[in-house]
Amino acid sequence: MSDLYKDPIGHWVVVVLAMAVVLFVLLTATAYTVWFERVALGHIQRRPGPNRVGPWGLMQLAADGIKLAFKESFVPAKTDRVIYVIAPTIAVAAAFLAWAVIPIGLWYNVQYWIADVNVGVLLIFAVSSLNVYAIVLGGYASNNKYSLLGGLRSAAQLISYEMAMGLSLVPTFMIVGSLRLRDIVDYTVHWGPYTGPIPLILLTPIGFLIYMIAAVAETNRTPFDLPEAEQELIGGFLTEYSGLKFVMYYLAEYVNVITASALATLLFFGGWYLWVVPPVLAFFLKVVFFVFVYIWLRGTFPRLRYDMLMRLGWKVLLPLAIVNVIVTGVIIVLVQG
Amino acid sequence: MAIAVFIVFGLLAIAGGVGVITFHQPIRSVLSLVVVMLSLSVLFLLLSAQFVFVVQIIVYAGAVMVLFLFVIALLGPARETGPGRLRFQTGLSSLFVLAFFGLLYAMLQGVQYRQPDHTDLNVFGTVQSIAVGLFTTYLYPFELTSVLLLVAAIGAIYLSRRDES
Amino acid sequence: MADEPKKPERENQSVLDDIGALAKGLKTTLGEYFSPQVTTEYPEEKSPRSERYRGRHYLRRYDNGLERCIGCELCAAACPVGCILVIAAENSDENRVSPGERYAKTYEINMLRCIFCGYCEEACPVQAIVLGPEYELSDTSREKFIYTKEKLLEPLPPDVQARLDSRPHPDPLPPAGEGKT
Repeated sequence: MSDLYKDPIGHWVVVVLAMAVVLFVLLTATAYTVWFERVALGHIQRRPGPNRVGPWGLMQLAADGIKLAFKESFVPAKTDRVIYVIAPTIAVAAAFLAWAVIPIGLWYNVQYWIADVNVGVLLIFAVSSLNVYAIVLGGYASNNKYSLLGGLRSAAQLISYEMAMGLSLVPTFMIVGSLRLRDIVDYTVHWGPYTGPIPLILLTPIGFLIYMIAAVAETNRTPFDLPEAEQELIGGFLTEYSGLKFVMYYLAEYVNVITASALATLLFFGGWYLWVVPPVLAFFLKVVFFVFVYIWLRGTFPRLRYDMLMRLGWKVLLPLAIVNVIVTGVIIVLVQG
Repeated sequence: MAIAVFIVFGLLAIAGGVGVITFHQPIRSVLSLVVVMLSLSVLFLLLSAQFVFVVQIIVYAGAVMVLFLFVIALLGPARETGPGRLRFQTGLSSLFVLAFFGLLYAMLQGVQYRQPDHTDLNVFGTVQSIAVGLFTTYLYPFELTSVLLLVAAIGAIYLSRRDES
Repeated sequence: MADEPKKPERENQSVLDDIGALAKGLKTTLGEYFSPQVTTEYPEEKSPRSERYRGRHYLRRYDNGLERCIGCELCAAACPVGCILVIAAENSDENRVSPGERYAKTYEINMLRCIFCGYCEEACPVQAIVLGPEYELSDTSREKFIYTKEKLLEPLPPDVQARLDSRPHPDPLPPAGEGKT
């Protein structure tokens, strides 16, 4: 395997195969995340959720997909056609690109990744910051005031919460001393008799909290789903989108949810390490847990008002994150020093 | 391989630059500028500057250009109004362009592409090496820059504040 | 004494109280998650209809098989949307359909027009027409919604029949064959 990886052509074959596998797994996972969300939300509201198509409703997404694929590909009048069509593709591309650097532990000491980049986490941020374009351009190109307002709100929201999200992870990087996701997962401590990888949430609980809140905002999910606030903005930037273009936005949203969950798992919950559970299963279970947390939040909290959202982002989360960085720095200096 | 990537993204960057000044719709110009930024980031990556590559995307493509987009989206899809050119603009601008190219040519004489003399590419351009540079050798200019940005931020807030009287 | 205006609760609320409130919300929804569901799985299980539910119509018969309808057209007159068509004919000894003088030769209800108000049931002097419990009336062509006499004369569901039979007040007309008109 490693010989193949060093060979220039073999390297490309491996990478392309890896990308195909990730794409397949992600698309499947996305479909079942949607199913899981609908069922879980149903249970929270004491109803069963989709249970008609296939066993336990598992084929619901196939049915929905077919229905959406056969819808007319509609472009509203007097829109910027090029941008209108490009915008959803940006969303999908940005969502999938993040998985280039996310490592997945397959077995003990066997990990899988497409690119093992020194600046891994930052690259994920960079890519997810491109997601703003999808939303703003979609809102702009739709020639619809609701779309435009939704897009602009989203731009402000994403930029605001990106700051808090980035800063919330800085303590983790300071402790580990690396931005490489694999190093963060493998971070080991010598704690009394215990030597081995630990979930970093024990060391930066505040950072985790800020990350979770900011991640919900970054993925435009309830209670921070202002860009598509149904009551005020119809569908926000999605208003004029239908058929496969809508699918792209929808897909991107759920891939982002999975990405955020996987990041939370890798950065704070020890990735694929979980007692005696096999690594792949451990990783899977943790990601599913965080996806559930997302759904749980959605089923619980009402949407914030716009000014509240901004206040929370700039006046609560950002200062808290900065203080967290400083305190962590002081503690690191004290411990090492 | 690297040279092919360089040519592709170099051309993309130039095309983007041309697009910025030739498109009549402001939003197209902004998107062209985004293309320039992204192409430049890839060029940084070719130079093994991973951190600069990522920061280029986050800061320029992810934040600055989004603000441009924000403004243009708020103003609506207005087209550029009228030619409104100065009388001697065409002649003057071509003169300046010629002068600029002459300057560039003179300065780039004898410059060749080569590997750095002594660099470990595993360390060069990483977050750690940049951080070491920023917080040791270049600490003073770095802090000065941050103060400058703070001044600019405060100034912007002061200018945009509402008149209370 | 005038009521003191209630102080807004925010006054002496700390961040911890807020977080507690959020946690309480999360606890509630998690509790709901594991509570039994209240959904009725509709096509398989149906929620019970009330006794007075007004579904599709039936024309009733007496126990001896004679139709109750005497062709008086009071139902058609009472119908607010005019969806009932009754054409009456004389009974004769050879061809006795109902105990009265006349019977309904044609009895049609346009179910597309019917608003299920139940006035026909109220207007009927012999309680010939009743509204049953069925509500799944969809069909594939408009013609099929004109319910003819044969369709309306289908026997009632047994439980509805039993309920009607146990009504306290007697039928106004005796079943034919006992007395003579």
